[in-house]
Amino acid sequence: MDIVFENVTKKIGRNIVVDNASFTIKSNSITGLKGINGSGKTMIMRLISGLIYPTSGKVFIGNKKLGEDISFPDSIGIMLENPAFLNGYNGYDNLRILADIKSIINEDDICEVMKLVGLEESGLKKYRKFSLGMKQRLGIAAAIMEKPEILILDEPTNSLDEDGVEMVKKILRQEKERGATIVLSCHDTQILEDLSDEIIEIQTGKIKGIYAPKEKIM
Amino acid sequence: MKFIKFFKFDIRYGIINQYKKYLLFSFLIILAFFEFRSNQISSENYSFSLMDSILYIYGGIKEFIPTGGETFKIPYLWLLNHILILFFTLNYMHKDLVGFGQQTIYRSGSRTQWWLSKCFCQFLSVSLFYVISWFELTICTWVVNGNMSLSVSKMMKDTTELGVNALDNPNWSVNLNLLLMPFLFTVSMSLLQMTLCLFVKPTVSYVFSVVVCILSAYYLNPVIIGNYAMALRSNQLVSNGVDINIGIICMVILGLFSVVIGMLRFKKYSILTKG
Repeated sequence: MDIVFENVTKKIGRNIVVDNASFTIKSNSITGLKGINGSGKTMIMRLISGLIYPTSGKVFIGNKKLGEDISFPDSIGIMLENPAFLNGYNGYDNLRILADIKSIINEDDICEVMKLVGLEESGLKKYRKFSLGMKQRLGIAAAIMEKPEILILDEPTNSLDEDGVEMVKKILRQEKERGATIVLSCHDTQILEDLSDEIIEIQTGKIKGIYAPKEKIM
Repeated sequence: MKFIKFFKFDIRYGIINQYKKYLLFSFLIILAFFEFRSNQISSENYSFSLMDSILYIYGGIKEFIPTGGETFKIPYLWLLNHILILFFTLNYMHKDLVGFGQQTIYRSGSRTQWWLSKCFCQFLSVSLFYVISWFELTICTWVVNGNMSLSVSKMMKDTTELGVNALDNPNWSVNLNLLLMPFLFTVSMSLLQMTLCLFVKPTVSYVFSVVVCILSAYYLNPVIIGNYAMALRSNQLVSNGVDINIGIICMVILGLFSVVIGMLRFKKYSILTKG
């Protein structure tokens, strides 16, 4: 389903963190958000997720308006920077607790996703003993495990080694094949351009340009 | 259905996982009981009752009139009970919201259910503190061969200088003052505190609660809600006391008001910070 921003502005206190943004993220595509730290990428992701609502303007998920027709997108997986889990539980248990809310996946699905992100064995450790890379992998697992229609990944390659980065690329391609609409941010322009069908460039909350990698169309 | 799942989640992580707080509180209640015992023994050897210990901890103080060089004696046990429970229940909602809770809330699809679950959890958590405290005082009284009566002893009546007949026999109206009112006060304040956390930082919200408790002890004033939580300020025991019926209404309204205002605020609340 398409994600549509219509003249969206978001203020946090006196700061304008997203400034009159209008764009459409097409269904079943990978859209990269590009910009320096503090440019507003994460805020755009939070706006899509329904974790924050616009101060003015509208965000539509399909034809439903966020904050009015729906509180959150019906089917979404999110991994925002520094995913938080329960320290006293292992990786599997953390996913089980989350999966229990919707109850649309079973134990096998959890095992499968843990295998996919490379936590098949180390996922049995308590979360507090996870390395940064393992935390990142678990965050990705939590985001994709319920096979959401919309997938939001904020810096998914952070703290990952080379194998981990390849794993992320593979997962993203698989998710797109499955039909997911993916929004991704990444500091590594090369990775972003490799994966994205379209890139939205953001500077101080404003949309500076939208282009397909390699060929600038706007 | 999702509400039940949320509630189960909150009971597990907001209450069961916080067992250390309940243990600490239990320990402090035992200390308070023995402090009560040592004070009474030093006054006179008498058979104290269960209700004496409850009055000692939850009774608060009579009106303070700052004349004739009389100094204000802080009702530290009454105050500690409330500010400790309010402290222990301060952070769960906020902490969950900026952490793991972000992962649960978008899966629920409903901000309202998430909020209501937190409110019920808060209510249950405060209730548990009181149940623990009443249970412990009962056990302690039994262990030291105290009188299990639900009436206040003559000795305690003299100590508190109440001198009213209301304390002579088991009296459910007085017991209501001692058991229900402090509980209602903590519940309503904890809900208010949780709602305030949606507007200001949790620390500010907590400072507000503490100030209300201290002001309540210092001033006998029906507007300062903590007065209703002190049996020694009740119009059933003192002539110029506050009316507990009004107190019950005020506290129920404050609790419900906090839940509703919090719910409305949370519907538009920006969930920021890491998650």
